[in-house]
Amino acid sequence: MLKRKTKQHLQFWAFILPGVTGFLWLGVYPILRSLYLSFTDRSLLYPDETKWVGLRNFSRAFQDAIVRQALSNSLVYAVSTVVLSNVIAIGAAILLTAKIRSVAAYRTVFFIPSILPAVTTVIMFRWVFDPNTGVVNQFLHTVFGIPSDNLPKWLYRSNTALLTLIIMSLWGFGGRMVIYLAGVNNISRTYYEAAGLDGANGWQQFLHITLPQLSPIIFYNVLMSTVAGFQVFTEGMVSGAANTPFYVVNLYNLAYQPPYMLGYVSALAWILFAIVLAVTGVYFFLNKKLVHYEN
Amino acid sequence: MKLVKKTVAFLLAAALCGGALAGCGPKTGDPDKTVTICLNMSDQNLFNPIIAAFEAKFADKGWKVEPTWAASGTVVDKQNTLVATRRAPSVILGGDVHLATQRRLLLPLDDLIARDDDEVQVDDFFPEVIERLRADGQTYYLSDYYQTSLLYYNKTLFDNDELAIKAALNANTANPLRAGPATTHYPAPDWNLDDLTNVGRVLTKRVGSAVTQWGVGATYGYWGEWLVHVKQAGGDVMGADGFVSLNTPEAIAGLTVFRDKALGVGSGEERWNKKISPAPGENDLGHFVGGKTAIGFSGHVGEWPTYKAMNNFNWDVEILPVGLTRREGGEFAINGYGVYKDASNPEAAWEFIKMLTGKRDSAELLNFGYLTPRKSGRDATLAVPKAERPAPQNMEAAFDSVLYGSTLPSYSYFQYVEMTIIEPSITSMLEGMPPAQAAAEATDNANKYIRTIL
Repeated sequence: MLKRKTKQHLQFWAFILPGVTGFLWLGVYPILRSLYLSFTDRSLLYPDETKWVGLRNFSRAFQDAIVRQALSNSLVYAVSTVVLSNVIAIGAAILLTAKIRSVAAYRTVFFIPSILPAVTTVIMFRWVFDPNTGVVNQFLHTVFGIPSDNLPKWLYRSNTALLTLIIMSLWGFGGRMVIYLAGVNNISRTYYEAAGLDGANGWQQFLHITLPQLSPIIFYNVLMSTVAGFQVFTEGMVSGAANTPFYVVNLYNLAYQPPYMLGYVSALAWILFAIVLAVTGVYFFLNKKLVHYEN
Repeated sequence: MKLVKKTVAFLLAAALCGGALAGCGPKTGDPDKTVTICLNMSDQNLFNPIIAAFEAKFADKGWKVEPTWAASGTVVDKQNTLVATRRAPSVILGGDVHLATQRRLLLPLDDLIARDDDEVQVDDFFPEVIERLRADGQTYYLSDYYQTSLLYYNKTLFDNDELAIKAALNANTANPLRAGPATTHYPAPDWNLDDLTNVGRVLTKRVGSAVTQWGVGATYGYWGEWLVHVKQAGGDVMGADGFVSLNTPEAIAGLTVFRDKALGVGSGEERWNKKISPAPGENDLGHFVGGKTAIGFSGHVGEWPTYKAMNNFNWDVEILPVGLTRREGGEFAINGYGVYKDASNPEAAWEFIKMLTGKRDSAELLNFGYLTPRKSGRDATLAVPKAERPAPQNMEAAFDSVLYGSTLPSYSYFQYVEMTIIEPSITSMLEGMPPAQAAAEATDNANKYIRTIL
């Protein structure tokens, strides 16, 4: 008979083996493989002709104007969506802590869009922002009397396409809202009662109690939405927005359109990783100065 | 109880592992006896009978076909994924557009064609088709269909304005192709660019500031239409050196034609009244298929099944009008099949390609939106009197257009450069940037990029 401890070890490994295998095979290996590929000229169609090119892919990326433009678009998108979606989510979370009837229904309604598939949402918003038949332009025309010729063309014009995509992204604020809601509900009522006795008004209470108490959650949400903002793909790929390439969409096009440059694309992916890592580092640095932890 | 728990846990774990392992890797038969190929899912009714016929013919050898069905527009992506993961199909789907990127994946077919010419009958293919499937003196694919640019027109809308159209045509006395008054109000081979523009203006209807009918439809977002105008003006998107050449006077003139159709000519109300096509984002009234657009320029043969399925949609086709300097310039894209260089059984792959590209019922191909590349198919189609043909009746134009078609640049980076670098400048032009500036911007940006990869 096996010793009890050996048996426990065997059981432990038996249970974690499927998960670890999957993680190593589908997570760690592709990451290391892409790191290797980033130093090669690997093409999708000719894997047997791969050659080591050193840092050439990285140096080329810094000279690539399309990469710079795509990175700029992704940066603007990420910053805008991080700020706007978190402000809206905090606002909604605070409103939904009010003692009003059917508050659970409101929470559900606000949350549902965040669980819809991104492709569905983008297609829906293409209709909403259609310059001719979309509800937004119908509204602007009917309510504000803007002439048809002067209505914005939204996704069809270079100067409004990115703005439209940012507006579209706000639709999914519900996911963050639920996290903020949990944070707001966790703040002890005694702080507000004490502040009320001291004569603090609602805004002062928000500024000096709610925000500091929520700061760990704000940190988490901002970090996650920044990473998601840099990685934006579906919105750019499906919307057909005029002259608005995103970094990851460009990466996809380079990989899956001739001449299928997997090596170069791997280098671009690692550059994006380095950028996100640097931004995350900045966040963690600021975390020490700006985020308030109870303990 | 403990034993039951353990048994259930074991069975669950076994089921999970078994399920996961079952999903790993392709379910392929004996590679020496299996022909693999990626095909369009929506064409199953076209290909399944061919697969069945192949398997019946080679039942004694046990040869089977294992198609990987992929959604329309994703077939080549699927195939690329299989090639990249060293599971390349034995029959490679490609054609003239893919020749530059796929050539080193393919076996030259010339020896096989010569050996089996009794069955292949290579002289039965249009020479223009075979020529475009060759590189370095070798043939790499055989074809089952091609796509060509045509002028599509809505006969009902033309009939509504018969007199005005004839007047517009007859007013164009500078057209050297037409001696005397126009004999028909429908598009004809004697049309030139001015005829297209003038008739487009007649057929563009306005009520106040709203357009209720467009004279000519427009295609945006890729090279499908603007490149035709550029080529018909004597320019091209790329030169023989592999660099973009849109900044030539000819190419700029062609881009200006494209721009003017959508934005009009002149300024203010005059400009608005001279527009014949919707600009990007403008209401296109459902494009040609919406029934409120008189002419579709260039178009796609693949859309024929949709047009055919529509009740009371009275339409036909004509060869493209002569552009600024010539008629040549429409798209001519050829679908083809080649044998993968490391196929386990290239002979079986070749036999299947022969069946895919053999003499077929051209009418059946047309039902799927495909034009036969074989002379025998063309002759069979044209043997039916014009009046007895279903729309489009003018099949002569569909076959004649081959003479004026041109293929896309054969550089592997063309698609990326066009879609990612050139197309934004085309969009800027349609937002108001002068064509010369847009052409210079596109050329400069594209060539900077190309220099980094050459």
